[in-house]
Amino acid sequence: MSSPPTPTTPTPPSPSPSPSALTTELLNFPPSAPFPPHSLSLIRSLPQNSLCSDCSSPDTSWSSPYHGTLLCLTCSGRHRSLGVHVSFVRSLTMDDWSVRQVLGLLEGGNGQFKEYCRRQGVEGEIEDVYGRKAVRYYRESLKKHVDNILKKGLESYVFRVRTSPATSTKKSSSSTEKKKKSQNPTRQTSTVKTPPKLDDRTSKTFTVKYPPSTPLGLTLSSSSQNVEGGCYLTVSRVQPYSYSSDNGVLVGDGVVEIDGREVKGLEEVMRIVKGWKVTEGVVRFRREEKVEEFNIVSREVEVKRVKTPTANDVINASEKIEDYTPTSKKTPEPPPPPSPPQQTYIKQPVKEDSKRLYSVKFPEGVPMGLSLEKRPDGSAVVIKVIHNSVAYHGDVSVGSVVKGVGGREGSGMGRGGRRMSGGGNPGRGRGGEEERRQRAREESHRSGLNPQSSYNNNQAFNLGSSSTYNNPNPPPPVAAPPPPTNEIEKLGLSGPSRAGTSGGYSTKFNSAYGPSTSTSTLPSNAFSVTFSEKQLGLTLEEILGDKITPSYVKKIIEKGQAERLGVRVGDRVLKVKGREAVCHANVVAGCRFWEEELEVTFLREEKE
Amino acid sequence: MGLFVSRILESFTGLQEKRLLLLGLDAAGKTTLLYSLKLNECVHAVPTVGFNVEHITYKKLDMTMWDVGGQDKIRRLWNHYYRGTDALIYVVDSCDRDRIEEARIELHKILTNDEVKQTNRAVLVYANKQDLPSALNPAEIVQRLQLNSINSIEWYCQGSTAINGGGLYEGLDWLNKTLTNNKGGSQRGQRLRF
Repeated sequence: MSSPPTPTTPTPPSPSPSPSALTTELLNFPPSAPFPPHSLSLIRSLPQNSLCSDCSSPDTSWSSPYHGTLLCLTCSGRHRSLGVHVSFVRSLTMDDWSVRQVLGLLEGGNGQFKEYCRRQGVEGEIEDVYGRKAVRYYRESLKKHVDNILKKGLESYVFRVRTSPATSTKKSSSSTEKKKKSQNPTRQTSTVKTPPKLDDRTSKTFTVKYPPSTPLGLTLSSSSQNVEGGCYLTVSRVQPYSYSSDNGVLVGDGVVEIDGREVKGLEEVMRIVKGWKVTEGVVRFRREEKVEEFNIVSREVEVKRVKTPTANDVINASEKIEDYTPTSKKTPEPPPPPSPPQQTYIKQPVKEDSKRLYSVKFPEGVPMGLSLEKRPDGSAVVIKVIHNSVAYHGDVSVGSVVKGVGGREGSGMGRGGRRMSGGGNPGRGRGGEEERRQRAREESHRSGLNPQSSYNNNQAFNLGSSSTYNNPNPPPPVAAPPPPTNEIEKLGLSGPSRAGTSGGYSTKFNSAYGPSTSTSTLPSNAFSVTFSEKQLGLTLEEILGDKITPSYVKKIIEKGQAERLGVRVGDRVLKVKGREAVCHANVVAGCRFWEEELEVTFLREEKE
Repeated sequence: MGLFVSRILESFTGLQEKRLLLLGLDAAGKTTLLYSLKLNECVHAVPTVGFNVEHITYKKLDMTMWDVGGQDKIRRLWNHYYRGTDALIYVVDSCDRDRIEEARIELHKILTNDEVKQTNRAVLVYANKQDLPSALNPAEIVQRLQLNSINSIEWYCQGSTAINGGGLYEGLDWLNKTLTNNKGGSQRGQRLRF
């Protein structure tokens, strides 16, 4: 038949201590002969091999070696009608077999195949099932696997013994891989997981169920940091407004299982996720949580930003996220230089006190989820906050200025970046916490006395610029004081007309946002529209020229949905789905994933 | 006596009783072909264990078709059916490129059998499953089966699709013509129908 020539000559003693009857049988198997009896008994012992793979009738005298399954007479007839390129039917009793076909049955099994189909959501009539891509993949994989066994030589072939795990170690690597597909994924994963270290920290696992045809909205990367926790893949990005982000998946979460199966590679994920077009998918994530006693260190980024002072801000000024650090990878930073604690604040004029000082703690080993940019004065400003990242949940807003890292003052970009990437040394960052919180309270209190700023928190990208503008005082000694006008030119919203004049910026801004924005959440000239059709009828454009790229309506399609709703060219997108849209990318992402209604808040800037 | 009656009937109706044998590897489509001719519909055949036999009348032929299972082990039973056959219908799965060589060996083995040589006058090869995209065409089948080396009897290769009856009657036309020809004047030839 179609099989390659089988080694029929006597072979050297096999590496296993006692060559099993199976090995001898296979080694001496002629190119074509009736089914070998020893293999037959092994195949009969495989799970679910006592019933037909397709109809579960108790007749299993036929088989499809391509799929490694046993069939009844009726189903074998239907298999034959599929054509030999799909399924090739052999009778266990009436046909002659080749070694390749026998191996197909030995390495396959009804249980394995059915489990695979279940995971892939393949079901239905025989004609549908075996034409499916997933099943074709299974067929090809099984063929490749058998090829590998033949290439390695049958001497080293060991039949998987599912009942005694000791023998499984003898299997060749390809067989082990094959075995991963077998019926007991839970047993196998449980042995890999639960490293000793796991007891020292708290981690929580949670599952997210994805309905059929839902895009994951995740970017996964294989990382080593979570391997000891059983996670080979880590979430490196969460698509804003995606199903994942709505269900609380965060950057840095490890992927434990997908559909109850441990995954180690991205290809594997792709394979599984492909099957979700028809079925619901389940992903189990694992998140490192706050741990008290194990080598705690906190890396902090103090961020200063301007905010409309409200009563709540006084209390919530300081947030805290803590995490463990197993080892600090880089050399520990020297202890912070003694710096006067009031330095940053005293020098600021009281009247521009719309700043808020807050600190966010970033867990070790988890991406912070923000991008910093060095400004001319050497300080670092947040230019991008990744949705659903640690920074996002720590309420870091774009435009905030980094005031210190790791409990140390230092707004320099170099310092900030270095410290952030360097982690921190144990024990630091706790001492200054209380003091800093105190300072923040003072700060907020002061700002409460002077509610001069009229900026809304939604315009996060404006705040940094305004803050820097309003802070003409020398920054902390680590950074050189920049001329304030540079800042405005660089970070001002749009156009040189606003830059250059010291007070003009502020006032123009006020006029743009209306006089009553100081306490309300939205400026008066903002308006919300609710889209219900998928074709929004508008084109958005990001205004370049500054790093923070707000989204403007560039074009309105005639008689489109947006025109009907009264959106005009030049309107700026403030919020999407009730969430502030800090940059163009957020807006685009938000407009892409929505179901029944999409609420967008626009801001119409009046022409002067 | 029976022979006499049949001769009488034959002279009235022009029908000739013929015994035909359907052979071929397993899953070639023999049973499907048989019932496609008999019932004019596609049946979901199961592997034949044993044989099927049907009467089919077409033109001047009153055929008794024996369809014997093609599994490896029951192929050895084929020789019990050889005696007295007038023609052989050999069905080949045109898509099964891996086993076409096996099909060739089997066919040539049949044709060297003494009993086949005695009565068998024609072999009709159906290159079945022509509907599938990877099918070998009848010319390739002729080449792969080395039909050109057969010179003891007449042969004919017809592409067919048993599930919808395509090409089946063209093959029977040839059989009709060949088998109802005058006994002495059977011309040997290699023909090929696409």
